[in-house]
Amino acid sequence: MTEEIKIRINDFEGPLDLLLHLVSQYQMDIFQVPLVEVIEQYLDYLHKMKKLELELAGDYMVIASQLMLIKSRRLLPSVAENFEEDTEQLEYELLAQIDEYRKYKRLSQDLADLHDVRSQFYSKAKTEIITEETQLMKDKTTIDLFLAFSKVLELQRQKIEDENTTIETE
Amino acid sequence: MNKTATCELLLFVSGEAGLTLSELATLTELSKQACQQQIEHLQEKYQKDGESALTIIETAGKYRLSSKEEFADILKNYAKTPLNQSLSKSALEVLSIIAYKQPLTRLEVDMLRGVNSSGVLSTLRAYDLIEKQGELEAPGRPSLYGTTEFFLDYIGINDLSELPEVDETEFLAEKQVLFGEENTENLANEELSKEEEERENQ
Repeated sequence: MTEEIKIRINDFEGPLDLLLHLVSQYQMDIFQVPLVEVIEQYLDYLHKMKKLELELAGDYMVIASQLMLIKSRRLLPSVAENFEEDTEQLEYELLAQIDEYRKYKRLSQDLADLHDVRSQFYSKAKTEIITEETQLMKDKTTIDLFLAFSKVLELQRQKIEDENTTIETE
Repeated sequence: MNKTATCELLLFVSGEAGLTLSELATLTELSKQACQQQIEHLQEKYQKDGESALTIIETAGKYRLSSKEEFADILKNYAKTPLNQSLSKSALEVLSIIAYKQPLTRLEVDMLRGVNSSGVLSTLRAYDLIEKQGELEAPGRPSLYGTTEFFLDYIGINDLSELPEVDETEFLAEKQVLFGEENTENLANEELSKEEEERENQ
């Protein structure tokens, strides 16, 4: 518990990813994860970011509160008949969640590998052929126009986001 | 009019949109089988010809005329089509969850990842990798999401049944290490070194 845990929160895809990392990296029982240290590190990081990512913080807090509940229930003596069962159920649910998340983390890597192979092949855009006989089908509405343009906007927004480099001060 | 040339012409004009076998058959007035033979013949011709940069690939059930693999590096800087762009780690995670568990709601994706996924979902929708596939009969009528035909093309398969599967044996062994009460020290160390290797390779 005393050893320093060095993690950078922004390397993770949320709290489950972080927990998974802690469990596999430090060979810890998941309920022995030094929560206080993790939360402190996280708040520090938020502070450095100079802008509150409340949504992101919230996700971590939800899992953290779950862990705290389980931890506190573990410490308490049994007060009711099904108290211990409930606690085990809580633990089991969280473990199942991490387990499932792990599966998709692995699969997403497989999909990325498949895409890497596919992305080696380039094609040209479809050639629009226009002839005298071409008739307009009139199958498009204002909704189609609206969606088409908002798609263009969204893609542009992505592009700008991808090109932006943020400079962090350590 | 040479039929092979006609097939080549149609594939060239359709470009990245591609053509299905039945579309090709209708346009060339050949049987599907004959069409298939023509395409294989073309593929062979391109393969043999060291002075040709073209090949034919089949993804999402359509044939597409494209450049050979070995020219990818030259084209990388020139072309920035969505197909040849990589997704972020989080976008990939969400995409794989939707690919395997479709149709499902945003809330279900959030639950699985433990983080909010709405931003990533709109990105994937803009790229046309996922789409709304109806609504769930539940309070709030949340949208159900599934993958598009373009998704199949994006990862280069023809059918969802071709999605890679989790290697269950390896997965279970790892699970015992991570969550099991048994003290499987050797396995653990093996797994860890494997994970470290993976990290180094990335």
